[in-house]
Amino acid sequence: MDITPLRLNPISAGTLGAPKAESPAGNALDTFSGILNNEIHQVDAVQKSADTAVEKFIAGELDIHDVMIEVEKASVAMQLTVQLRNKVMEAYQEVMRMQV
Amino acid sequence: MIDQLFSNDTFVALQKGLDASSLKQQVIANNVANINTPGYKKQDVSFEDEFKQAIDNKYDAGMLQTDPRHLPGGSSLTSVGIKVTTVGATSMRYDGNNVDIDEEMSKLAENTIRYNAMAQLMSSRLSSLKTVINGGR
Amino acid sequence: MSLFSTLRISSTGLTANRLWLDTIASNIANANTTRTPEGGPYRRQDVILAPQGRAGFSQFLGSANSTTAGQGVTVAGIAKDTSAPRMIYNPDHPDADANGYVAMPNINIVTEMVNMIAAQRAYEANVTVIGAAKSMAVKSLEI
Repeated sequence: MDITPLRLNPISAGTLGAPKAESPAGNALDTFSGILNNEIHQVDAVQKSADTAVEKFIAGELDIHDVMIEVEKASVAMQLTVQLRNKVMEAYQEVMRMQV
Repeated sequence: MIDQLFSNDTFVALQKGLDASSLKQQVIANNVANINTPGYKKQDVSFEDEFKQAIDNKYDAGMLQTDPRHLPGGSSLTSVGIKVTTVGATSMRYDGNNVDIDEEMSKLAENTIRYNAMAQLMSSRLSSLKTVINGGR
Repeated sequence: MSLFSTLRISSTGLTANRLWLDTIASNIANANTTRTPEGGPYRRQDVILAPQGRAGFSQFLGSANSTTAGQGVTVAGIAKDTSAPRMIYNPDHPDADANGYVAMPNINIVTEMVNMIAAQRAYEANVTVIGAAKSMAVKSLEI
């Protein structure tokens, strides 16, 4: 009876750690990093519009309720992003704590 | 996601309401300042009728748009216009001025309460959003 | 912008009414003044009020499509009464003319009193508007 011996295949640098092929362009929201990126851009946009609103208010062009709403929107968006980050970190640490 | 937080219909409606209310305050102030000006006709802000139509359209079926060239039916909340109109009714006064001080004072009281209510509602919406985001802590 | 221009509009109302009250006070104080630097009796003064609009095209378009309110009231000028003065027969008066008639100002105290009440009520109404606008602005700070 022929027993086929076990053979270790040498690990080449190409096989492990190769990044998965990126999904076709236009589906950036498919990957989690794509979603995170999009969110960070949106938060940045909201913060910028809040800054613009404050400047316009100081210049006397914008109404007080408009500027208050913009500033609160920016604050809510920032809190949401920070909480998202916290949850992601927790999940990562949870995974790292897993016994292999 | 963040855009969707704030494109809620009620949020947009509150913002529009606050804009309209502060413009109405300005118009009332102008009417009161001109209460003795000869020939002055009082002004008002038209906003509620268009807004009501926009809300009714939202809850109706709306017009079907199967082709991009079809016109949209009714008006969405964001496109409700806030206009200042002049009420040119004849007056009882000899100088042609038709401002009624009592009407202006009661409109002022109502408008102030409405504005305060809308500001309060907006504030409580935002704080409930924050409560949800922070998980009740 | 909107709430602060409300305050500005009401303050134009306050200024105009205060000026009106000043002219009324001047009229009442000079009800019997027969000698003025220009010669002749005191001429009754009255304010000419005009609405203040936003400068530019919008005031000619009329308010059919406008989205801005007016800017309050302004005193366009103070008009002096040009009607003939009252002639009172009083030959002993130092300003009596050749026939013994003195030219007295055309000031009716009752008219001035009624105008004074109107100016006062308008002033109070403007103060109420300012109070309401202030409370709205303070409330919106709590958003």
